[in-house]
Amino acid sequence: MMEAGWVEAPAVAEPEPEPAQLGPQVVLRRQRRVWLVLGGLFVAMLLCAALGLGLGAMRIPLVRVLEVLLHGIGVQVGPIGLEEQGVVLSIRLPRVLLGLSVGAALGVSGALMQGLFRNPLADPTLIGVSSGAALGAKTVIVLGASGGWALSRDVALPACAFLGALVVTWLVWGLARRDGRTEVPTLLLAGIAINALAMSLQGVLALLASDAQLRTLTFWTLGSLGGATYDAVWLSLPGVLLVLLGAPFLAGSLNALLLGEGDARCLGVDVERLKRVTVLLTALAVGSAVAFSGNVGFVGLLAPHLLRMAFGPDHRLLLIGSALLGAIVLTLADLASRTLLAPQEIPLGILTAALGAPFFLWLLRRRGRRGGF
Amino acid sequence: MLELRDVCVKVGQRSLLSAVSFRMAPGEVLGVVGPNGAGKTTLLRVLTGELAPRPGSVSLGGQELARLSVATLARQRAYLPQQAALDFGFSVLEVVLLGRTPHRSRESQRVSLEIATRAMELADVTPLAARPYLELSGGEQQRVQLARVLTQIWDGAAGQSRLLLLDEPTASLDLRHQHSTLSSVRRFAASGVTVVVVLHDLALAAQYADRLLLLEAGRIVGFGKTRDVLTLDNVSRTFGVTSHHVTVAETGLSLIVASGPAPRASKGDSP
Amino acid sequence: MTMRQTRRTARPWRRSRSWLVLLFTLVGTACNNEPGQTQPSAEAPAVAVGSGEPAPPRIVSAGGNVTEVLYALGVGSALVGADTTSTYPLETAALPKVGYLRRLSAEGVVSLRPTLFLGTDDAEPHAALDQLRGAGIRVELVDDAPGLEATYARVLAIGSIVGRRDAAEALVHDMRAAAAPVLAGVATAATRPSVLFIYARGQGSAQVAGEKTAAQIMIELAGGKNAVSGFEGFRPLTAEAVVQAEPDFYLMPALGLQSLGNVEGLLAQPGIAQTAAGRARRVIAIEDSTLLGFGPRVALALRELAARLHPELAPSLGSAPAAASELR
Repeated sequence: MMEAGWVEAPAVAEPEPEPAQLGPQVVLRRQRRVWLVLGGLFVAMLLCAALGLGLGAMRIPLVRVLEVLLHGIGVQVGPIGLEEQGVVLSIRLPRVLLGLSVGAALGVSGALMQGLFRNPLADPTLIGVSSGAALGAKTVIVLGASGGWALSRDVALPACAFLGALVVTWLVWGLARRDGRTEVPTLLLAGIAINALAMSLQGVLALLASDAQLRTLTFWTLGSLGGATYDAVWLSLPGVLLVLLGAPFLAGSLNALLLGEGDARCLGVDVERLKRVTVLLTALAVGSAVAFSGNVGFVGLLAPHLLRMAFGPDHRLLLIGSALLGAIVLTLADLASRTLLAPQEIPLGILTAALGAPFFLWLLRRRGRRGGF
Repeated sequence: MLELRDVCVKVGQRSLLSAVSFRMAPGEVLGVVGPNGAGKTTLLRVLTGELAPRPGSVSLGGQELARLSVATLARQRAYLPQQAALDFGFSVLEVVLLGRTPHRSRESQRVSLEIATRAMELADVTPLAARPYLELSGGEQQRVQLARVLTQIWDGAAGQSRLLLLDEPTASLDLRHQHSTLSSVRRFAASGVTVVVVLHDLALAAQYADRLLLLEAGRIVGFGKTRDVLTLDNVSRTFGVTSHHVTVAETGLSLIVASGPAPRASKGDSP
Repeated sequence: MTMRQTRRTARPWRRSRSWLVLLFTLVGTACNNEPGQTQPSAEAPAVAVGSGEPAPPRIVSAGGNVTEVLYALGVGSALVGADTTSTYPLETAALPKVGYLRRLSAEGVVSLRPTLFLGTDDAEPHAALDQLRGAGIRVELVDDAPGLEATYARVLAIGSIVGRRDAAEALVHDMRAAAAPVLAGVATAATRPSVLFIYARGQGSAQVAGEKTAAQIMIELAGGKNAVSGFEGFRPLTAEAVVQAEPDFYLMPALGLQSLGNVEGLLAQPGIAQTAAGRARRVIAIEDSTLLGFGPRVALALRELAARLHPELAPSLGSAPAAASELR
């Protein structure tokens, strides 16, 4: 404070007595906190995966699940029923793995979008990724049946969905660019315009669709992990892992971006490059995920929000934390989809919406207390 | 050393700055004053490197701003804008630590924290360190932002020039903090930083700046010591007010105050 | 300030701790499951063995006509689950459903512990079928082609699969016998009225059937001809198409007609009221799965349709079934 005895020159030349409150303990606490939270989320994710393997239309005790898993990697632990092995290894394991991959992709993309738009209501649909994927998939569903497609539909559908996601995002990005710069409000408007266009094209496809195709379109829109195979897992994983490895490098820049573009630029952040990379990573992650699961909403909104409410907006925690929490949410939602109306499955998108909508109503009511997010 | 040569900035037909030239040594505080629309904020934006002068040049420590990379510039130049728009729930400490962003790849968290701590003391926000930024008053938030920009250029490599730009840093501050902030800025300057601060309060400018730059309609009306620039004539003409000298008997502090807008017809005359 | 900071970090910890407790409880519950709890809940009655082939005690079927054949062959009591397109006979309502034909739930099927999964070849997703095989369930698919011969072949194939070949052959014999007078009768018909088949599910979704559709095959078998041609599959209904077609009759599945608002609703569709058939209300409605399913009741639909198209032949087409009332 400004008492007598205060040194006139700024305290650069000489070491000053550190105030008691801030010090090495705070540093360690901060560093440790990030790792503890991420570690805790990781463990929770593994637990949810275990639940997903054990529960469902058929209950398999956790011990048996572990035995089957060990058996699967070649370790003999005891007699294994063919049925249980089939359920765990052929049906549930790829499904749980795909769920983790899709959930992580949606979670991290939601965090990236919310950082880019500096708005906690942002999610990947804004830049057209989801409608692009939907357009690609629906094109295959409606037109692929009659045309002479060389590839089987099981390959063509995810491939076109992924391509659709990338192409539409590229369109949105291109529309929003001017003179080498992309203004965020323009990006938003371009996204709205292209989304509307994609919707109308999807409407045309729905018009051309036969009854059976229409049902398939609807199911795709609602999302499901029912088609999970190991192939799907291996195909969706690279894109997702790439994004998970790359995103943490953006954390510091995204934090600075929260101050505003001008201030971020003053702090040395290449804002245009940051925007470009963020949009690209989002398209890659969501495209890889949605190609195999169909449209699943709200996860990209929920996960970063929950984390921000509990731990603050620091992207060093938020990006990977959202990925982990997204994986948890999706795995649990998929578990519910397989269990609530067994032996039928409720489409995944319905459950995530059923979770998401009340959450947002609650969030709206809570917001006034602190202001901001 | 900060040097401007013939800096001109035009937008369409309008000239925002014309033929602005001056030089400041490290450790000096330059107060930029002038009426609204005189080009003060534009000048700051040229100094941040955001606006490129056409024609003209700005150089810091002998190097042209335009030639410096974004990353290098970020380590040498910090800018505190008039309005800070932060709508996310960072704590004060986290906001201040954001100032170390350009240095984060070169230093440990411990060092960043030490620097942030010292900057917070200088800006008088240490007691607020753990509080959520959004819960603070406007003035407190402004001081936190000041701490952040101080953190950004707290240290410099030997021989490297540092530049601190402040756009009306006292706008929402109470009387005490107006003075303590500018006093801290002076102390910070003494460590070898060139400071350019835009102020609307002539008294504060006179008291805390080593030299003043008086702008009107993009042109320099006066540059130099306070008593040379803030003459009754200059103030009356530039600001369009009826002005008077006031001297404080105890300290000999001499101020110029305005008693009212100048009558239209006599805008060109001295009272 | 330290107090505040520790409090802030403690709160999220407390929250995540309670989540972890919840998860551990759930895991513990899963762990405590006795293996006995995964036994099948219902005992399946043994099915009489025929032709020396093994009798599958538990069947899950996919495809409405497949399910119907299974009941017709007398193995309905072995069914433990079916897809949502299996709606006939009424007993199917009590069966657990494993999803839509093209969106089967592999886990759902497995949880019913079937020994046989029997479906049409457009059952999807293919991955699910592979997963069923991986779980040790026998998966058999039958061709879903339309047409009378294809239907007879399908019935025989299903019969072989479930070990009821004799019953299948008897059923096919009955089906042929029921269809024969209809086919003979329409062969002598003087005219081939044109029929426009309309498919609808509620307002705004009406489509007409072109070539290579089950509807066209039924129309032709009943001695009529498709009022539209030149395209395959379905096309949206337009006024121009309808007026140009100027059909002698309109044919609709019963539920589809109901979804439009019955005949009045159909007349409100574009172009219909401008045609002679529309004004004269020459609308034939037949129950959905009977008409298009190509299952055991195909002869009933044929007879009904032929009788409407060729009223003069009606007496000679075979005994009017008491089950005609079923067709509405």
